[in-house]
Amino acid sequence: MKKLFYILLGATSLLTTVSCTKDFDELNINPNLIDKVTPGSLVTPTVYGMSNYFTLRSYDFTWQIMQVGLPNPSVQLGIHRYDFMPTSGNGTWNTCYTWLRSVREMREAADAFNQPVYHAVASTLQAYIGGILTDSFGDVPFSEALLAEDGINQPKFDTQEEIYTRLINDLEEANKIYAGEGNMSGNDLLYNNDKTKWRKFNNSLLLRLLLRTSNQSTFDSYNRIRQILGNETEYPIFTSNADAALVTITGIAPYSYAWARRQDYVNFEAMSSFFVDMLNDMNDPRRPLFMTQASRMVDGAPQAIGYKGIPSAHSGDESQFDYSPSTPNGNLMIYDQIGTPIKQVMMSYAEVEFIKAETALHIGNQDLAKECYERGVTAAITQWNGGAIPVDYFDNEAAAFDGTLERVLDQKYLALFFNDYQQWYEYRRTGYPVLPKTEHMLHDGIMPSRFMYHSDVQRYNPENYKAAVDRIGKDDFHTKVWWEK
Amino acid sequence: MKKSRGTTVNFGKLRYLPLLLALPLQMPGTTMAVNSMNTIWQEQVQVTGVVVNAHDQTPIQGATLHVNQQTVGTTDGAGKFSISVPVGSELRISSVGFTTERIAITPQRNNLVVSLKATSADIDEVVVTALGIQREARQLGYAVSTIKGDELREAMPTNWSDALKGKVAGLNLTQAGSGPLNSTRINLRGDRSFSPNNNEALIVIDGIPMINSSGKASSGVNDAYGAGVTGNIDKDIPIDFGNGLSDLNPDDIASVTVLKGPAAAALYGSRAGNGALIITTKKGLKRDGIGISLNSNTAINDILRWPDIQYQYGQGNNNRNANGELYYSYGLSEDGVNTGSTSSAWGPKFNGQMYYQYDPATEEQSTERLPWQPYKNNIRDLFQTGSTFTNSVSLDGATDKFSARASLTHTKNNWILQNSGFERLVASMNTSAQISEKLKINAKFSYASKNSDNLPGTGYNNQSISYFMIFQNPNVDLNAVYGPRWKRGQEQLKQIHPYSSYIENPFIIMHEMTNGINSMNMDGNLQGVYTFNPKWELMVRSGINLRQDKRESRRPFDTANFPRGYYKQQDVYFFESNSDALLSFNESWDDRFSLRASLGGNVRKYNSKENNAVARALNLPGIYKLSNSLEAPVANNTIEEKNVNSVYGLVNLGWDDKVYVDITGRNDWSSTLPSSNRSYFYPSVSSSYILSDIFELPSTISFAKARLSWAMVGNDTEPYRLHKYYQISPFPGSSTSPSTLHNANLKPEISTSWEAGIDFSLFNSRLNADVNYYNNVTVNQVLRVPLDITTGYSSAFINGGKVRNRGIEVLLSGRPIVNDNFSWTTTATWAKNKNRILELSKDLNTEEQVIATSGAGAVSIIAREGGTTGDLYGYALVRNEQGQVIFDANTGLAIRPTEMEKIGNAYADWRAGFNNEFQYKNWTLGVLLDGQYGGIVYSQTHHKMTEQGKLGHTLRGRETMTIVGDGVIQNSDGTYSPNTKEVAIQTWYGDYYRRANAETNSFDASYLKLREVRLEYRLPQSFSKRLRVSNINVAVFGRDLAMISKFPIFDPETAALNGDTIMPGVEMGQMPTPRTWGFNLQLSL
Repeated sequence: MKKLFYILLGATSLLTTVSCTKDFDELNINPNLIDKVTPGSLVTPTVYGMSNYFTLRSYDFTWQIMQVGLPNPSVQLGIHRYDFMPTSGNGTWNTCYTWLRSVREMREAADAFNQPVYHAVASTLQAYIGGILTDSFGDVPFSEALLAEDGINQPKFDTQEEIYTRLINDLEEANKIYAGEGNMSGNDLLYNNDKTKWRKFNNSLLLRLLLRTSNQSTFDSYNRIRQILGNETEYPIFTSNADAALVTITGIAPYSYAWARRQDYVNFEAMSSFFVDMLNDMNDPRRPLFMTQASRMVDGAPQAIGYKGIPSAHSGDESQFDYSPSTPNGNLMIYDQIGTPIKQVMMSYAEVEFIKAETALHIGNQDLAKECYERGVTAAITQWNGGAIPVDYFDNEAAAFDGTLERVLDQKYLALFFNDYQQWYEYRRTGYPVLPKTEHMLHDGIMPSRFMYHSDVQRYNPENYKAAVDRIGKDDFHTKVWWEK
Repeated sequence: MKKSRGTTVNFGKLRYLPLLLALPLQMPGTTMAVNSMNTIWQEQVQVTGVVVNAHDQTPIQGATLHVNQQTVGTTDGAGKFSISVPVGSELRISSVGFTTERIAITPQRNNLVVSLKATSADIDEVVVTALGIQREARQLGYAVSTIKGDELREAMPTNWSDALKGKVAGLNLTQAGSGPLNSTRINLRGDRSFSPNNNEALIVIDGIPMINSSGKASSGVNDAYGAGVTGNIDKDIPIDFGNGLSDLNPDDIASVTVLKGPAAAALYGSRAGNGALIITTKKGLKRDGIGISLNSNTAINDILRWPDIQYQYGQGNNNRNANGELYYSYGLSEDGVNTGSTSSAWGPKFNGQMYYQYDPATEEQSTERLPWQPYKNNIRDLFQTGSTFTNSVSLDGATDKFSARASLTHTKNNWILQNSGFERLVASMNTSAQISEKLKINAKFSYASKNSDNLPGTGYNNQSISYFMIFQNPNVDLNAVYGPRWKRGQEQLKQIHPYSSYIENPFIIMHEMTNGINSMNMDGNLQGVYTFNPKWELMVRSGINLRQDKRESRRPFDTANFPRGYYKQQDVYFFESNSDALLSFNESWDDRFSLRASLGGNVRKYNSKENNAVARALNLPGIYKLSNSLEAPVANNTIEEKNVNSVYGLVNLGWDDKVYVDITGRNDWSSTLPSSNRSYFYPSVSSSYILSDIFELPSTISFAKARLSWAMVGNDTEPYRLHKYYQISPFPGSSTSPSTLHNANLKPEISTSWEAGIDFSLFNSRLNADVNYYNNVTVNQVLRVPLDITTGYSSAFINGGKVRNRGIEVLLSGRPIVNDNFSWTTTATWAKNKNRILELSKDLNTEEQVIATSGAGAVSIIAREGGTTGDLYGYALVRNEQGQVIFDANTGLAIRPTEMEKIGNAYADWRAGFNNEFQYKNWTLGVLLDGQYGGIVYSQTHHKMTEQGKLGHTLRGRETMTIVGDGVIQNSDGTYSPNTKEVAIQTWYGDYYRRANAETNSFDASYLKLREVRLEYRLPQSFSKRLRVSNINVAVFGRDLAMISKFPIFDPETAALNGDTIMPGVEMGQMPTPRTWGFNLQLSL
């Protein structure tokens, strides 16, 4: 029986050992990852993530819909034929919310670590990202979004007017914070912790937002723009390409170029006739920076025939063209010598000058408009590596300021080259440039005005989705967003 | 137990345990008396004898002798035994793989010669069950299959688990076809989990579970489709570094028992919900002198099958000259513009005509026109005759108190692809010592060292050889063009790839983009068994499994994804220890009731560490050192830890050798779950009824048994899912927000299953059948479900989902002919599993969950209610009510659908194996066929090679170079008329078979393979005696010799290796399957 006692004792101690789990909570704390972040650690991933994605999207989407370039061969469908899918906006939706999330974390961390400048940086980035989001979809979840940790799994949709109000107010607040105490100390791919440049970016974005909504009276846009332009000390804005929100990418990981392989950018894409012809008319020095020369077979040998694209939304295959069209110049976005910096555009200085020019036209000051126009064009040309403006550029009738809004917006279109979806938004706002239509475009040749909401939000947030759709009319490609009305 | 502060232990669930304990505790006094009385009153007799194999009269070592449910001895190396037993009792002699013999002991019966017959079914077989307990198969209330070690070596594969193919009903091995080590996903009875890596069977070696998660074999790249994919910081490819499974030496394996269902495996805890493979290694046996055996295998490999690649038309894109004729010109020439930069073969027919072509001598256009001709070996020449040499020697022996076996195995593999293969050394030792009458100590240790200078990268990306095979053009002379690798004077700076910069030089891929590995795998355990008395026994065991890998990947300059090269070092370390204590009690009454009860505990500790150091661009070309990094090299380390504590108990009851009931229970505490849900209990009950003994059955039925079981198994989750953590960003000093919402309230997942089966033998055991039906439901799975990103997260961890697997397994075996000189044994297995998703999740409003995806979204496995966990979704063709394909009237191309739909199922409808063995005198011939019916595979290779005009089926339409799609166009009034629109050939094939068309690129994965053939000759004893060896066998064998399948590329047995996940149903850049021819020599001294 003694043996039995030992056996029982052994069994009991075994059970005790085995069920002792007091160190399990500690064991299950991740030894690899941090559970707090400093606000500065979120800047570079957000800047790189947004600019890289939208540089790709500019090529994949804006080039096609705005007749800058198109896939070649492209026998059927494609964005240049206005072939939108319900999922066409999914990537935009996901990317914007992903980085808005980061911006929210940045703002919270700025407050937690008492680094107010980052509160301002968060507002600047929020306006940049939020602007792309709402301009692409219209009303979207905003004030209640990104709060899963607080238990909000079904955020309501805010109206575009509400979103713009919030973005603009936050930019105004940020402008004041930048003026105050505090500095940045982190990895900053965009401005290397220069908060004065962030402040200029902030206020330049304010101009972009105000002009975008100028068809509506809510913000009294033109007057507010004039106030800002008239008060450089309180509202510093971009005054040169050195100020502009251009992201320098060296191609050396982690700062990889946007495309995985140079071929993915260079091959199977042609420049569009509309874009090339516009540059040809202006005898524009950007042509060799942007593209190669077209060639044609003459007596069995190819001969360079200058810059020539193929028409967007054509029908049939590539055999109809008796020439090889101009294709994208690889060194603009993926240098063949890796390590050579290229520039991705978040917001250009040229855009600010074109905003000024349009405002000047609006108040009828032709001289001021001309000045701004020419500065804008010059900036747009010189912002690219190797870009120089010929002295006689504006002697060309096609390039000279002619006092019309169309001329300003045609040049703005060229200036917004490779700048996310800005060409599309500006076209929707103004109708410029006047794009040729073909019978092979879907939707009766009417350019889609927005993307459809992400299918996930339809599925996971059905009530708020329905409320939003009832308000905007219909969740389709042609519903006009608030500022477009 | 009360010590567990801060955690709530669910005592309620443990309420069964005291009961289990109480049962044996009440009995000992009384029953011992009964037993000893029997012993006293019965006359003892010394019985000696020898146990031999009935077939060839060779001695059987290690056969077990039982009297009254108790082991009384085992046979030595010469098959001899000598024991003392009561007169009148029944002696039972059994050995794994043989029919048990029963002999009544009378004073006259000694000097016995017991011949055991090899079993072809598992009726009276002794099998190893959970916790290493050996039991007669008749006692088991659940399905098991046992494969003897010999069967694994019959047609020796480089990974022993391949030898299980076709031999076990319900077992499914999935491989990506990804190189010499070819990691295997082992699955039993279907996929239970939405998480593709949670469906693998547990592997247990001598009682110690081994680390076999294929995930841990990852190079860190998680998509087999990588060509041109953006947003991936390391644009590299998956590399199959092999899971530890292949490091086991098949010569050391005595048997593999496949515990198919949870009832069999419940005692192994969480990980056994998917069944378990119990591997028992060989032990030293008592014999005269030392047993030495040598086994030498030489195998050579060629290629099982090639796709139908066309060599009639060359490079081009339907380019025509001024006369409207197809022409070719490498670079601009007087014939026309360059047509030599496309990867497509829509060019002119090979008629011996002359064109300006690439000249390797000048590395540019030839000065003269050269004949236009195909090079039919321009892909095949990448491959060579592979070879594998495996040599092993083992020593074993034993005294009365001590036994040991040691073995050493060396394997050298040169794989079929140039400059790839591996070398492996496995040393193992297994000892047992009877320290005292009561204490026995067993120690086991095994060490494997594995080296490779290069394991090929897999999948579809510029760096993979599969990519090159797809892109290679029929008019390109492989060796002449690509052989020099680098342009003259530009070594390591400018590679030779004259046709397209998408194509990497294959010799650079094979010889310079290398992936080396230096791996060490150790497992060992120490076990002490203390026998208090014949009834009480305590076993204590502690074992470890450890793996350390040093890996290195090199990428030269001037390659598509790495213009300035790339270099990576990866150090990976895994460790798991398991410590068990098990107290057992045995008793029987009146020879009618028997009882075995055990109570045990287990402590499992797991930890892993992975250190990566990467130079993402190099300073100088061709130098692969971290110090040569252009920027500071990046380090990225991951540590993981996990502990699970468990208590378990089991009771086996037997009545009159007719009815057996097993009850088990286990409670786990896992560190990965929150304290409130950390403890979970799960029981099982199984029962076996020997119908042929219970009832009078017709004499044709020699044996019949029914079984019924029910079991639950709980499972935990991965560590670190309960709290919020920021993710590492590749940028210095940066972080990104997590994308998956943590869940502080995760619960354990529970699988519940039942199974029923029947075993019977007819005509004096000449025909045996084993039929099994099972039903398994898994609930509360830990799922990573998609969230609407507007909430701030793209996914969240939740408990949810309900997946059912139901199926039938059939094993039929027979011995149609049994003569002294000739016998024929045949075995057929057949298994069908039906998987069904009953529920996705109640918490979330979700209709579907993407389980896995590949091909840049072209094809996904999506779970929906009512579907299966293997449903492949993608875009299909649009058809009218009559099923005709609808084409666009303007373009002549197929209309594209807007929604993805279900294309088919990656899982086979059923699988079967058919094994035959013929013995004539000393000759044995074995032939194994196996196959599957149903299931589909999406093929990226088919898409791309069709788009490029490389496959035989793209010859249709070459005369006119146009195609009219077979189908209709929709008229404006809604009616249909036949499509008549001609489309240029390259456009048509490119569009109809576009990557996103999952329908036209998916194929029936049914196949029938001649899996193994072996012809063996055992030299006559008279001859071998003269050579002073006891046994010599020589054999020739073959593996994967022939295949019938509709799958158009290499092999329908494939999957995509998405880093740590093997995704079934998708071929994403396949390499050929080797066909093996071998010679085997076995020698025992």
